[in-house]
Amino acid sequence: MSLNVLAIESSAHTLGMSVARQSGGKIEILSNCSAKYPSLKEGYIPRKLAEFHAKNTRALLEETVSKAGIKFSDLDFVAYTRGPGMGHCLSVGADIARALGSALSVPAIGVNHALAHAEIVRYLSGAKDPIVVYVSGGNTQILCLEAGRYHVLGETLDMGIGNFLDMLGRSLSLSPPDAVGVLKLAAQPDCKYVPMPYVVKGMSVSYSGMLTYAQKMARAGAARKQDICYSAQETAFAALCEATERALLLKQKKEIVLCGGNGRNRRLSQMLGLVASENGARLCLAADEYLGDNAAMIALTALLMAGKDAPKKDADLGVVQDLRMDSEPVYWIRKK
Amino acid sequence: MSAKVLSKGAEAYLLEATFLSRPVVIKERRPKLYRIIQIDSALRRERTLSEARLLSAAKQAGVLCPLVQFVDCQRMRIFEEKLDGKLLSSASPAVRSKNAKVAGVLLGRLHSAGIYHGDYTTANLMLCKKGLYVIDFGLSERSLRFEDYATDLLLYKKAVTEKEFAAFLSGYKKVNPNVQAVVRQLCDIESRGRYVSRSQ
Repeated sequence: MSLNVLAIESSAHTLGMSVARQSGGKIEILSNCSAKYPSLKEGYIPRKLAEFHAKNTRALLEETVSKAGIKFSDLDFVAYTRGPGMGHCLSVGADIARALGSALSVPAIGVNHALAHAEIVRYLSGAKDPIVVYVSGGNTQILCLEAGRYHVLGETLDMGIGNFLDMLGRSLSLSPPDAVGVLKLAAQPDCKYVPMPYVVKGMSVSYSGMLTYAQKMARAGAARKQDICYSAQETAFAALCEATERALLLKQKKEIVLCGGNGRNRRLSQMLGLVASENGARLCLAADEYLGDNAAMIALTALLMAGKDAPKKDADLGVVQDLRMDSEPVYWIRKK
Repeated sequence: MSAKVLSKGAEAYLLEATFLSRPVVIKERRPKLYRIIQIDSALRRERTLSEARLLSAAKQAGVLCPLVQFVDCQRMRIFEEKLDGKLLSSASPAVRSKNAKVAGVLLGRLHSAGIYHGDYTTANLMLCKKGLYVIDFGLSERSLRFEDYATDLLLYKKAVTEKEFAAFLSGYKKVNPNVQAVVRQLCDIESRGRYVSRSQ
């Protein structure tokens, strides 16, 4: 007995679709396709993202199903991202799920995007009871499993680490004008460190002060762009690592799961690797395609939620922009 | 001087040794390999010096805390009086709630003296014969901002039950006349958290 799901991810700049199969308790990702809105100087305008998603729906859907090597009639249910994300974008995914569900007469269910980021890395890396470091554009959280939920131990007090780096890249007019541009400059061989505000409060971090400081520094011409990028990145990651180390020791865990789009940053994973090895823990990673926004994580989480049988029809196929990870019971994980 | 490692925290190693024929605890901030040396050495130096200064300032404010005996700025070590007690975090729930009010009084005194602790949880409160001690001033700073005081309260709030926090606040209120402003700031910080319901 096997279950096939088609999932749609559309919370932000990426429209993703994926087919995954659960059989005999094992989950296999059959296809994971996506179309990403380009990074522009003006940033992301939700309405334009939604138009992009809607325009790419048809082609991506056919590509996803054919790559998976199945027919539409093989699908047992459909999953989509309920939230968190931008309302315009989320609505497109929910619409696709509703339409597919009724066209194929199969149930559709909503999945928490943040939870899916954590679950795919946890599942693929085989982590049992980790500290989760979730780093993406809008989110920066340090979590652990407690009482059947992901409990937030610490998080950013203002902006997500990805937004911080993106905005820095934009205000320095880098190419591309985002975190990737910052990373590229920070990797130059002759970068010099200039002191930046370093904020860790308990297990939480804060980045808005550093952004203002870096912007002022750039305007005043007090340092070269590459020095600002290098220093900002090192400082931001060091603060996150320190908060993670505290969480690891406080909760006495032996695994760190790194998830979210900024998990693809090699410097960050290197630093967290050192935090792990210094404390006798293991850093759990997954391939890049499962770190940034992707639909495979939605498909996998939907299968975990469903268990053995296709889920019942979801009564509420809406979207929730401000859905939190800690509001979601993770009943499929049994600790110890 | 021989020293025995007592424990390894996120911030520093705690070692046990004898200094001038007295038992001491040495808090040593060893380098963190994950961060670049410029960030690492500045942070370790800053924190070691400020911790030593704030420990004595806290004592003057009437808060029980370990006595500083020596500061080693080469290896970033603080030699402190060795306390004999039990951490509040490992005490029974009954003992914890009995001491919640005192914990509030101590924090209130620190804030009244312009010191915020930075890591005020039950893991940094030690129950000794003479009373409840505040330990680990590693993240403390001098501050007159309600925002910083409220951050202390928030961390404690997250670490204890609702009832314990109420008792804690009643103690805090007794010694800190600014309690209303601090609690208002606390609500403000909570509402800033990402994706928190903002119905107020």
